[in-house]
Amino acid sequence: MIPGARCQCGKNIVPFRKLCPACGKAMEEVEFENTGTVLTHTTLHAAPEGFEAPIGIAMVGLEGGAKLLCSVKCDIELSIGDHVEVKREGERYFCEHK
Amino acid sequence: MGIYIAGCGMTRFCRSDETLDNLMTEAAIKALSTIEGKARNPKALVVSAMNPQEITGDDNMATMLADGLGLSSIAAFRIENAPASGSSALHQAVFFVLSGIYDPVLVVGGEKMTGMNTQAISKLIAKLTPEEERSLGITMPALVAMMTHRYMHKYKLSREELSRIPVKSHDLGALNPLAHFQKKITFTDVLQSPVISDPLRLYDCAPISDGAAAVVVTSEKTAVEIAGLGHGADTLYYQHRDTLSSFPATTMAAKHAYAMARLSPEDVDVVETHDAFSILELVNCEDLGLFEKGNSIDALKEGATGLSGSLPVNPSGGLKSKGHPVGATGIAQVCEIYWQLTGQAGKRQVEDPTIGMAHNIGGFGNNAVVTVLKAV
Repeated sequence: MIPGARCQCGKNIVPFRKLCPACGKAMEEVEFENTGTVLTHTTLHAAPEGFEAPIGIAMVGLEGGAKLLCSVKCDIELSIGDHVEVKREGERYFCEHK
Repeated sequence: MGIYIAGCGMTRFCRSDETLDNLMTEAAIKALSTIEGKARNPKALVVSAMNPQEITGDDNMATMLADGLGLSSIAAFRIENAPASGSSALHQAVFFVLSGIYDPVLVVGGEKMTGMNTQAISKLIAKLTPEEERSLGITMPALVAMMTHRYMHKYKLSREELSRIPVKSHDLGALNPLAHFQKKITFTDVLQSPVISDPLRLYDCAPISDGAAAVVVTSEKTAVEIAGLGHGADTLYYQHRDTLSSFPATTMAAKHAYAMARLSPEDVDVVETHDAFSILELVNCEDLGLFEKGNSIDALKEGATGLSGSLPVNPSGGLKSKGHPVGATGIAQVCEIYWQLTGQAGKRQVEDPTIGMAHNIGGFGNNAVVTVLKAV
């Protein structure tokens, strides 16, 4: 499960925030299922300082409605619409095919 | 509103040996030298630079510039709004003149970026994104690449079609003596340039440049009126946005600017928009209400956005070929629109424009700042 937040205004987000970034109201702590769909992705070849290329990134639309930017391991090829599972490894979320 | 542009000036955007202070002084002097009368003596100075402290170690830019221009007794400020610093500084100047407190106001924006290597500048620009995104290795190109994939998926835009934008940018930059790149490029050049973050290649990205631009804002009537201003914003995190394929901040900014100017998108004759990456020329035109979502590429293919088209987009060459010294960009866009509206755009002159629009973005669609200018 992925910790996040829900607002009365309808916004669902990861990570948890006390105040809704959309409307400023107090948010409720919730957990989202760790499955979802790939909304978009990229592989970055020009790595920033401190990182090594290639870097895989995906934006996953979680089943609960929140979106999550996560890492993708290099041997995984994603397409928009793929069903994926999100797992935490150390400080980061990674996604892979279900 | 009764606010006018008295004059504009700009250095060439390029890899320069000049200091940031010298570049900004040059632009300021160029602008002031085109003006006769009261507007030549500014009562305040607003400076725009995104991050001189970290990029070149320069600090205290407003005071340094005021002193260097012999304006050491006037109020001097620096405005920062990421790469939208330039237009934000211009808007600040408008507010000063509107209030009657300072009139006229000199606005000078500049940035000197070529001294830093690409990786370091990339890391610095990535600070415009939240820590959590950066911890994945995200850079600005990576975010825009994801937007590109999403846009291509949604509107069936092909990689070949996307390549038309940098080619068009360079065709126009070749007509601009102040542009960073004044050489045309081909589709092959674009498609063979190294992949930065798929699907974006090197030639889809605006260069790192040095340069400065300046504008004088006044209540004294001139040939060009500042008719409308707008500022829109959005969440810091890409994953908190309502859409992944466009910038609602731009639409919000444009809405305010059109309303203030009492105009609508159909009235715009020429536009300078923030094409830091090729896809953004398409996304921006749609977010500004100039074309339907997904249709900007058709307008480009029909020639509508070329110099002799119904709505020339980025006649200066845009950020892609004119260059993008971030603190200068928003002001340089207004300079171009001013020159277009006053018939001073040389080989890139658009035929008889009356309404021009400049659109500047800070961060990844975080702050969008729109200015509408009218020939009077």
